[in-house]
Amino acid sequence: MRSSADGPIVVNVLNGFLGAGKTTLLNGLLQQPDLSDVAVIINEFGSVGIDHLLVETIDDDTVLLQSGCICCTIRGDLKQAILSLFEKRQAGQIAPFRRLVIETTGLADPAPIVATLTADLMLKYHFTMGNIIAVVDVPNGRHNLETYAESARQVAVADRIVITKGDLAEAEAMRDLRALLSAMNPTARIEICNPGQSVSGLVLTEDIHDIGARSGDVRRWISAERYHDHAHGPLPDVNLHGAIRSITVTAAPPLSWPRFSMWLSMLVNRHGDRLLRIKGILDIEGQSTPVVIHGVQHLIHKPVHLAEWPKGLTGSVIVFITDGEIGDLDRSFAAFMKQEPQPGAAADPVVAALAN
Amino acid sequence: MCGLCGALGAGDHWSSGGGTVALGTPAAERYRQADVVNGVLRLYGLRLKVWNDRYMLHGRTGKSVVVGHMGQLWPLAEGLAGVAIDPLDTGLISTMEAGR
Repeated sequence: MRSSADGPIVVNVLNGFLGAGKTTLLNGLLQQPDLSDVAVIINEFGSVGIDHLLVETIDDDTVLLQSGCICCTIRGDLKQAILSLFEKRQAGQIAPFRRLVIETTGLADPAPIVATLTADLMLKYHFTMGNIIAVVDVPNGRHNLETYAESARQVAVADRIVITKGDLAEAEAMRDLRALLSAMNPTARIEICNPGQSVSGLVLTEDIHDIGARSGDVRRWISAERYHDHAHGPLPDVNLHGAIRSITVTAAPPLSWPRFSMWLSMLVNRHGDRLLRIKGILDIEGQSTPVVIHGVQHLIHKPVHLAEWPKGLTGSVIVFITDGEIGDLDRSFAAFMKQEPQPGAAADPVVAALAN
Repeated sequence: MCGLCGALGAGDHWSSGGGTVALGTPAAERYRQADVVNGVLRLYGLRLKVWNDRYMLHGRTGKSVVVGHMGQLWPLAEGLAGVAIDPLDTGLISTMEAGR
């Protein structure tokens, strides 16, 4: 989002294992002129210092929401750090930042951070979630993904994945890591951060709130999912990355919004802790333009419209990235939408359109 | 905020569509939503009725609870029904398919 002067402040979450290069990446981003109005919250200091004026640090202090789900833990420390920055901003004690980047610890699950921002009554009206970025380094990335569930979850929920330290490994390792990341999260755009260079600030700013970028982004992740489905089949080895799965459900006829919101709210209630990421483009009854939904675990963002249908796309497509096998999403979706289950991919209107 | 009960933000949930997916007025949309949801709730002996700008969920024994939005509904419905209401449950899916 190109933040307007009085709109909500966009929050980006920057994940990545210790040593992956989060702070180096952030330093590079903060030096870009377009990102001069960014505040930063860091909950641990690594070996690389950050050169920025608007930095707050936080300590560990978490509060569990009534739902009791660990992914919906409200982080009291984080809330206080954000409110502290916001109050200083409102009082004119610091520059009126328009974006906030939260750099997490290496072992952080991003879901509680998203929960803090979207569920807290004080924060939700002043802040809005932007891209979640996962930083993965080539030398250690695969090992971390195979060893630590947190690392796999960071990748699974990301909107953008940045691969770093490609110069410290063979080109083949880079290719393998990229293929693995793409298999784990086909909806995320993958960027390469070359040594001594920075990635484009678009990793922060080009998000679902960016009306100009929204359509291309949707088309890209649908295409990526389709390519993944049909070129590579199922994930290469589910055991390699904690059984992270991606599942796509489709529908050709327009959907009833009350039916869809009923089904998704039921699904999120029962399985939200294992629904790592949800992204969908929907053809809703009575709407001339497509509706985009996205969510992380129990947290679903309000639907937004695209200005028009991306060329060649028709029908509804929803991608779920799940932590393990959760059941027959396709059959459930069809049953609750009162539609016949969609036939195989060859008859899928989206696939057919993309193939042309 | 509702001046009667002091509840916050009933219409602010994603399931209300953010005012962008409605076919009718917000009130008409609540009736549409309740109609659809009752197709599932009746299987568990429950019923959802529109109540001002939110809903009232009624159980078998006459117990009732206020529901702001779909996000609040299912934990409350499971509490009144005493069972999990799982859209991936094959029994529930089969029942929904039979009614298609």
